[in-house]
Amino acid sequence: MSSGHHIISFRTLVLTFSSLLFLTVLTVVAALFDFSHLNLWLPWKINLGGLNIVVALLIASSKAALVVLFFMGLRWDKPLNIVIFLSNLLILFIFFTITLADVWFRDVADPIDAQIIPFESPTQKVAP
Amino acid sequence: MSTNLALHKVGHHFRSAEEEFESAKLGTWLFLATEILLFGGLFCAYLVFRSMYPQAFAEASAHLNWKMGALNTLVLITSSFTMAWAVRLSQLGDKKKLILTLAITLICAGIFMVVKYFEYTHKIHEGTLWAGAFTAQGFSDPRVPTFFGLYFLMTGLHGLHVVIGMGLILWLIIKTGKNHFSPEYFTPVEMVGLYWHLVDLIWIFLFPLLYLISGVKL
Repeated sequence: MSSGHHIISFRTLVLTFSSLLFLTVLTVVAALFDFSHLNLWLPWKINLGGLNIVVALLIASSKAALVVLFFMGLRWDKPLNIVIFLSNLLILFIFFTITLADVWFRDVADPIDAQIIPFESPTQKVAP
Repeated sequence: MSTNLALHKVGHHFRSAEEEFESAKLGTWLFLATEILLFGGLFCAYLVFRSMYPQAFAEASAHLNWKMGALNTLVLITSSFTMAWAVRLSQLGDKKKLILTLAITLICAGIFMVVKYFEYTHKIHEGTLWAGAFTAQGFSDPRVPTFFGLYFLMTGLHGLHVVIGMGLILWLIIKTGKNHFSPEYFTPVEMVGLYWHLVDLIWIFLFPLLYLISGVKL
């Protein structure tokens, strides 16, 4: 470390790169299998494609963590920058939770209003 | 070698080069935070619509070519690697290799946009566009255009970021050629690097969410 800057070693870069390549292959291989019958959200009747999207997002999150920690060097960064990134994730989490809590659980909270709103296809002409 | 080194002058409102660098990095991270929230809104919309119309998403996603998406993922990851390498080389002051790695990064970004161009023209030809412009026939679910609307919005905004990134990397190559960077001053290389990694990061999530919904067949 010279003058406070961390120079990421070539070895670390290559290891991160090869891990990212491996995880990309893994996410395609995982998509070869159909886990859609394993639906974790079944109790709430939310259909997001079962376990497939969970596996896909777990792999994507691992890849994202590798990029942020090693390529972006957050692992060696100043605490303030780490706080900014983590609070960013927290804000994102709050945003997702409140929005999806409304959309996904509206009928649980108020079963009387749980009617599917008729959808007009944009490709079909609406009858007058 | 670099006799005509264009020395960087630290801004008068900074006490030291160190303080200037840390300020630039803080600002970049704040900017990237707004970028994550910008794309976060689209990812949230994606989850809302996908849970509302799962069949439409599966049917529409099957019309995307996952091999193109996978190729672009590999291309972007490679460019991220060469960009991170470029930052290291700028810190070490290796001008020749710095220009080379930046050029490879730029070429990878170019390949990404060429693949995207082929995907987009194919979709325009097929008529699988957003609601209002959707003309394709043979889809069973009437909500298929919703998926393509999100597809074009998300990949379009991401593609715009790639194009801006290409401009920034080209600017870095020119500045490197003019000896603007040294182990004492490499701030622009590191900041463009951070931005470029974020562009890669967004694609890492876009690829499985858009292309792999209905599984892949080899």
